[in-house]
Amino acid sequence: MKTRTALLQKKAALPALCYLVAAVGWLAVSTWNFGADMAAKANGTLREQPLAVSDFALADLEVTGTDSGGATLLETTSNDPQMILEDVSAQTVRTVQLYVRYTGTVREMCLYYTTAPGQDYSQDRRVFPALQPDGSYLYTLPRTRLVALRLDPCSPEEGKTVAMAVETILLNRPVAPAGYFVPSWYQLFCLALYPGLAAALLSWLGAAAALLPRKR
Amino acid sequence: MQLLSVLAALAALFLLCAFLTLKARLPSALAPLTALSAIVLWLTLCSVVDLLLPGICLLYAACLGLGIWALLPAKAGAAKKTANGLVAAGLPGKTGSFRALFTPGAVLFWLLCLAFAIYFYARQPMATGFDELSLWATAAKLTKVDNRLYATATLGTPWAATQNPGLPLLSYFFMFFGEYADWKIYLAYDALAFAVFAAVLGGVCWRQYRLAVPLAAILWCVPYFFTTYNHTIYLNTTYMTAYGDISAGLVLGGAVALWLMLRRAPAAPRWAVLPVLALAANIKANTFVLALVAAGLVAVDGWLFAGGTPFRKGLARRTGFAALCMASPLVIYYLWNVRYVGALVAKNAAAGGAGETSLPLSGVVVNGITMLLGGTAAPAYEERRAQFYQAMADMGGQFFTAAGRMSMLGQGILLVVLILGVFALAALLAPSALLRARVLVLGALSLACFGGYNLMLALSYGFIFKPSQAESLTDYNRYIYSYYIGWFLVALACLSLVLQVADANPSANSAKKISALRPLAGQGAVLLLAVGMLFRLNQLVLPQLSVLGFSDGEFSDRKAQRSRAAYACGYLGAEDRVFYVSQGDTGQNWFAAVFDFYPVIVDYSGTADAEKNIYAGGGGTFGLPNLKPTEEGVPQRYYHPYTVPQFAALVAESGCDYIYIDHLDDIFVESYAPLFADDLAAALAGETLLYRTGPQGYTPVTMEEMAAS
Repeated sequence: MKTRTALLQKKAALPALCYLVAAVGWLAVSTWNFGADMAAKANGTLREQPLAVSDFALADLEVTGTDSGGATLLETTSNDPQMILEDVSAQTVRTVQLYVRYTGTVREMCLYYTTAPGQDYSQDRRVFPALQPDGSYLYTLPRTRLVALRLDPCSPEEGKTVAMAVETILLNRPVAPAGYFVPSWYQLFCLALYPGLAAALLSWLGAAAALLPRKR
Repeated sequence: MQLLSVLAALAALFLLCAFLTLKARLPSALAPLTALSAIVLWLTLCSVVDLLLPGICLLYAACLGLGIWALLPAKAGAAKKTANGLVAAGLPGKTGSFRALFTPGAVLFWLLCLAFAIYFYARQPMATGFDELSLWATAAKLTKVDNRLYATATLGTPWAATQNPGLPLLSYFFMFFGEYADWKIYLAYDALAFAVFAAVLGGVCWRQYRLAVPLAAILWCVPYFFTTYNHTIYLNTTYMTAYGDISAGLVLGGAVALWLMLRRAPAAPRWAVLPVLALAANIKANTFVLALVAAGLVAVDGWLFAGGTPFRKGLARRTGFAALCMASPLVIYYLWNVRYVGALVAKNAAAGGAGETSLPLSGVVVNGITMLLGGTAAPAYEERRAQFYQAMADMGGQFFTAAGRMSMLGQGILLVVLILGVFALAALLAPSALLRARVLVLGALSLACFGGYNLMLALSYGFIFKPSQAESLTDYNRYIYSYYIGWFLVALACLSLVLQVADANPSANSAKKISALRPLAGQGAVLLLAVGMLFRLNQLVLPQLSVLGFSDGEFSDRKAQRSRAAYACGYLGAEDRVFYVSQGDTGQNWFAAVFDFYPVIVDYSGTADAEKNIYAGGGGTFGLPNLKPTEEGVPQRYYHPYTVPQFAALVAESGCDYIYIDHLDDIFVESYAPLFADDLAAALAGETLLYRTGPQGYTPVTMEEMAAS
């Protein structure tokens, strides 16, 4: 008892507590996400799903054939080509992985999403790809309700075309359990900053409260 | 390997800081800024006499030697002396090297440096900004590759490399071991920023974490807060840019913050601020005045406020020190901007400088002020009266109205209100009359300097810039936000100092409960400011468009460009000279090629005539005169018309051994295909990037991998 009180009275107790709460909170949220995804897998809404180009509605993209390896060959016809999945609301989509080879200057690639039917695409609702070691591009979507997905596979310069050889587009690639628990760089930054800030705030509130009654 | 090389530089820096803390009694949170400034000062002096390589070797040896000596466990008697020395230095309560070295400010610095070293090594951001490729990153790369100052490098064009060497040399220190990499430049710049943050935290101790943490949060936000005013949909390059404007502002604030914290530790060496003032003058020529502002603030504070002793006591010493403060930036200015650049410009007289001023600086100041006071100036200046007054009106519009929104708070006037508010709060909460007076003087003086800085900008726009530049107030945001950043840091440092002092001796005596309210109120304000700035930052900057979450795709074009250049270099010898073709270029690709190919020289690839102000090269679109596009656009604006014989002569006279085809278009093929042995077939088929020049035409170089794919 004495040791515990002595521990709690150490100046570092509050920050240590806040970081502990943050770590536990992170574990809890990650476990919840993991559990939710396991449940979705069990009832079939979250499944690894390879898609072909033909599953998408194409805008400003022309199919020019298939290559020897079976990849669909596409060519852009404007500087804003799009591949659209109109309605994915019946399923859970966590990631979109694009296996593609480009010829030409690709420039910007991104994946737009909407969270309600009829909603406009917005630059606030888009994610950018992470280049994978195998050369594919992985888009990780936020854990919200998703209705439509619009893939902008490239943004050719004015008057130029980009040729693409799309092998497959994989929804919901398998994620190892550990993947749920590893924070992104930005999340790591937040986990470093915000618990400390919370501890500072709580400490301040405590000091202010200690001061107030005696003034009266 | 690349990571280890950077960690070695950090380790050397750590040893130097340990020496400064344990032997020179400089508080550990202030050591990084002094150390980095001293490093830059030493390397500048060495590079000016062209002894950069021996200089940096000596520097690393010194860091190693001094650091190990400082960290060696002292003998018993000496240990007591050191301990007392540390206590006398006003370092937080405890004795012992470990506690002296690891105060919150110092820990913040080292953790952030380590974190960013690992992060940048993992993510590898690249330089893509125009000025990065035309100047900042190129300067760093040249210095690293040659181990000599970039000003001595020979490039394919006469390069007026008169930019101050402070930041490139700082980058050089961090990448001395291992290979050149763009991200090492960013690490160097960020280390400087973190050193400034540590200085603002100053002597805050672990017990005062509820002040330290929100202060650190505010400091993190500062570079974003004063430069971003829009919800970004493009990558925000804060913390990963080689531009010098933010650094200039940070060092202005850092120098004054360092001084304020130095004075709090009675035995700490006052000279520690001098190298920082020298660094402030060594960042950009047009931010030299910021260094003078910093020096002035430090000099006045040191001279006017004797700190408890009678004013006349030690007056001579204080006057001497004030003079030293003002001298530090002036010496750098004289050494570099006057002597070294003067010699450089004389040597490259044929090259021609950019933006030669027709009106002398002193005349501009005198006549401009005469006009403002209602008088009539000399005729040469009267011609520019309208431009001058229009510039002032435009600057006023930018400052006062929402049209001049340039920060996360809005336009300039709101920022001034914020900054003065922080000064006022610091003055209000100051526990002693002396501290209050110092804060008030710093606030008033920095406000007056702000007025002076604006006047200087108005004079520049009125009399020095071209009319088109004055009309659009070119780069106004960048010039003015350097001052806001520095000014805000000075105010924040005052507040930080006041709250540290007020909180230093918490009293349990009930009569002094009121005095406990002061630090509490101040800490509450700092918390509020931190929360507000973080909230605003999160509103305007998405993580995936910032340093903490940028996508790999941001640099895919640049990576592809660089790997093409590297591949081509595999077929070139070190002495080869390359003629560059990139149709549709604005010059940026040419700068990138100069950068990527070095040490292989990329020719200017055109004709430059400074006297006639004709620059038909350095990137752009080559073509026959009759093929020039009629519609407005980049190819039309940067069109270089050459007939076939003219083009052949151009290539021959340039002495280039190869032609590098970065981007082809129909205009080039139609114009010059006959000059190429295969009529450009190989390039068009994507089988080669290089053609060998020769009297019989240009022959394609067989590039195996490209031909195979």
